[in-house]
Amino acid sequence: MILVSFEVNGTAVRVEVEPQDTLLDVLRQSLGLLGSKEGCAEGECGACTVLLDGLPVTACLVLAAKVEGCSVTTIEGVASMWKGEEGALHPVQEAFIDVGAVQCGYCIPGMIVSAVSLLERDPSPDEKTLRQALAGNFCRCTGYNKIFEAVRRAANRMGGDL
Amino acid sequence: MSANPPAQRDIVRRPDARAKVTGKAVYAADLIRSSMLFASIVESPHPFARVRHVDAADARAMDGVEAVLTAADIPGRNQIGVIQKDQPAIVSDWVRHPGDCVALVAADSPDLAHRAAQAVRVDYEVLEPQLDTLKNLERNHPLIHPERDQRDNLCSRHKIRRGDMEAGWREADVVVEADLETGAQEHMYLEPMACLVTPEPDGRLRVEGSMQCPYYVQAAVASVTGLPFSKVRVIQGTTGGGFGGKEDTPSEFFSRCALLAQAVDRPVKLFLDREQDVRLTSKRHPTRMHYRVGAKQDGTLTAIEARIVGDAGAYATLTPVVMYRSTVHACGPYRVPNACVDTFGVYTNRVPSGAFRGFGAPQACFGIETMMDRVATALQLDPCEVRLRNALRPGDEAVTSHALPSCDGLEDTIRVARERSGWSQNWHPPGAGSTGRYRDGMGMATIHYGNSLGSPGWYLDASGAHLQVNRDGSVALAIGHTELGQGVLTVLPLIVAQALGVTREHVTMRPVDTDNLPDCGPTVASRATIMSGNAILDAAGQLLDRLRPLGAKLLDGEEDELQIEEGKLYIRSDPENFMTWEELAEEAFLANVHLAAVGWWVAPPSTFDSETGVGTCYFQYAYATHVARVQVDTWTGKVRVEKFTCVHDVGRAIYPAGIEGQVEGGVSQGVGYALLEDLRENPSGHILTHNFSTYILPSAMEAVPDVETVCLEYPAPHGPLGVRSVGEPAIIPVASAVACAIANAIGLPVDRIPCTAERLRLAWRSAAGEGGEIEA
Repeated sequence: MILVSFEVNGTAVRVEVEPQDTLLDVLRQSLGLLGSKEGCAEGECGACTVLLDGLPVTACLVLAAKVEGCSVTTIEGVASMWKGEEGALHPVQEAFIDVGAVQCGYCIPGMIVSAVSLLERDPSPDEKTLRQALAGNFCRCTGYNKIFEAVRRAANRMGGDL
Repeated sequence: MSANPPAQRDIVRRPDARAKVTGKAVYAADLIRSSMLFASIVESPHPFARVRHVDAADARAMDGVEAVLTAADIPGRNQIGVIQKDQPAIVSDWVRHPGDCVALVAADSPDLAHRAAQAVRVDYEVLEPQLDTLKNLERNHPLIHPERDQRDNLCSRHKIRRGDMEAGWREADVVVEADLETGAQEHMYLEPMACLVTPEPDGRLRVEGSMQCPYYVQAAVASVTGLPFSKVRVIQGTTGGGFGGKEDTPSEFFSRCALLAQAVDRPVKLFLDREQDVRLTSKRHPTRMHYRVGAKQDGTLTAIEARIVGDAGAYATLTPVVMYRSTVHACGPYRVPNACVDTFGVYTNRVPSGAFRGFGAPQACFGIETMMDRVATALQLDPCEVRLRNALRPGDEAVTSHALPSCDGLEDTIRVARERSGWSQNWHPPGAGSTGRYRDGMGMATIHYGNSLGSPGWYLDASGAHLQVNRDGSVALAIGHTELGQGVLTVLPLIVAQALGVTREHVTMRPVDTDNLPDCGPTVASRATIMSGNAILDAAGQLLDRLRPLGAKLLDGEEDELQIEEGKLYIRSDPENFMTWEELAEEAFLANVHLAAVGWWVAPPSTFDSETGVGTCYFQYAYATHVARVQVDTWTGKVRVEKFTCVHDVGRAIYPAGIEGQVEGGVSQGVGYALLEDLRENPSGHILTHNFSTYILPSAMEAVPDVETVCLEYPAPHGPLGVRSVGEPAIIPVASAVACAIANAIGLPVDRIPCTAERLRLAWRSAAGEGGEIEA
């Protein structure tokens, strides 16, 4: 057992992990944060995407023991990244609802984390940047077009001029 | 009829979206129970073998292993076949595909369950795997199901005989012929298969999980556990995509999990990791086809001969009905005076093929639409004109010798697709477009699609809906069809709102639970809106019969003059003097009005003669035409799909944004089927491409930049409010349109999908000769 201290969605946590445990295991099993999904366990599908010190990573490929001292943001913490009203969603989450970018929903937590991360880095991404930023998140339902539309709409609302 | 792009209308927000964007939606893998155990499957490493002996002693002795079950431990019937009873839950004698289940383990951690499964020792007599469908069709070939009376490996057989083939060939000015092939396709729903089975204190089993068809699961669990249906309660959890892959396959895995839960009397969770899910669950049927088509100089079809051989895999599962659909759709939506169609489902030692969005129709569509283009090429005609010349018009007999009900929209889908796609300005004869490295092409595909289950499934083609009006006016709706992402939770409350005269905000849907309603059949065949929608109309009618007299009395008017809409009721002559739905509900409650109703709708029967193929086949049809524009890089073989124009006769667009979502998703999945999704196996039939790194899906980089969805609204005869199916029609023409566009771009035939970059480059090089590809 290894004792690891890090921050999740702004809260300090201390958990005991096995050497082989992934960050996804710890989020889901030890911390009860079930929003991040496992779709492939090899870092390909993107359903478990979280922010690690502000950058998107697939939590299924990050060893939990390596996040000592890091800051992690999951889908559960995305809303509080935006300085909106109490209880309000992040504009990216709102936009996904507004344009109908959600179908089965399993890819959506990871997709939204990737999109939020993109807009943090580039408030008005061009088409190619947008596609590249989401290329690591597979969606089998929507064909991506409504997802692109949602991200553009969120960018507009957040003040970029995409 | 109207052809408004749905985007111009109001956007309806999905009631399930908020939970999904916040991570709060609960999928099966998220379910946790105290004292829960974890299931693991002992998989056969061999595709074909006889089980001599199973030794579970070591596994049973492991600390934390609570149960190891073999076939001998099954209390009920060791049988889960949905149509033919050829599939055991746990193998007792023959294993017939890699990963066939030999034993089950329940242990107190997933890791231990996995290790215990590996500790089960099985002695096999290994046999040569039989993987070639055409060879397996031959007599005296080794039998995959020697227990059957049949002395061959034929799983299903359908045919159509129409007209006089000799006359058809005589009348033809041109005859084109081709051998065609379609690959398997893996569903790759993002959420792998998962369930949780909990034995309840009252002796019932509670089965929760990711599934399309709770009633199939109920039947399978009851079969293997020996419990009556009433002691098996199946509740659908949030389901992360299905596409047919969670039609019958959950019955297999959930019934195994139920056996374990029953044996240990504790909750047991089963979830497949991605690689297991790909290895062990169904695929789209790969097919080999032979088509021969005759036509007159002006493009009029005179005869079609089609032979389609589908790989059923190890067990029948849904093959007989998949191949039925291939048969009925084999000649497309065209007038064909003479036809001879033969389809065969053949057992092999592969994981069973099964349901996949389109259900045998995309394969048949690739066959017939490829041939329509080749007829056009041979006659130097525009393929759009050839389709228009042959498209069924009202009153025309389809190949099954019956007129399709209400097919007025079919020709219009072709005309509107031609106009919206810029076909007349941009189409060029095959290979006659741009020269040099990049070649542009356009391709068209036209389809009809029989809605719901059709003749072979009529016995379960009925559905119910339970509506309950509470005294505050809120309305609870229970149905038997599942939300898979396609939008059932959104569209059905809209139908309730329209039927009762309330707003959609009045309506809340209850989770799908077999305790709510009798068997409503499966959520498949693009039938949920039609079947549940009609049942809702029935239930709403019963409620209104009780509520309207009261409403008229309270408003002091005649019932004939009472109008209820948007949550208000008034006498037509005096709309200012209204009362609210909430007030009506409260008054009705105080008057002891029965405020719940069960609606029931039975699909009109359809027919199919097994010798001639004569029949109505399905009670109604949907129609669509898609046009693809592609650019082929002749150096790399890579195809870029630039634009899709998708024109659908949807009957009535109740939830237009949902239709767009279905069409855009269908295009993406169909483009994957056409170009990227290449399921590879080793020589003994073990799947090699079992994760996203090796089985290539369209990513955001491959998203088709411009997908235009156009809805035509020719009301259907039996759909609620005129609705026709759209979920599967959205994918059926896609791969064919892409393949036709590639052939048009490069002037070479595309005989096989997926048309991967490697295959396309090889075909181009061998046609152009070494170095031929570098002309620029």
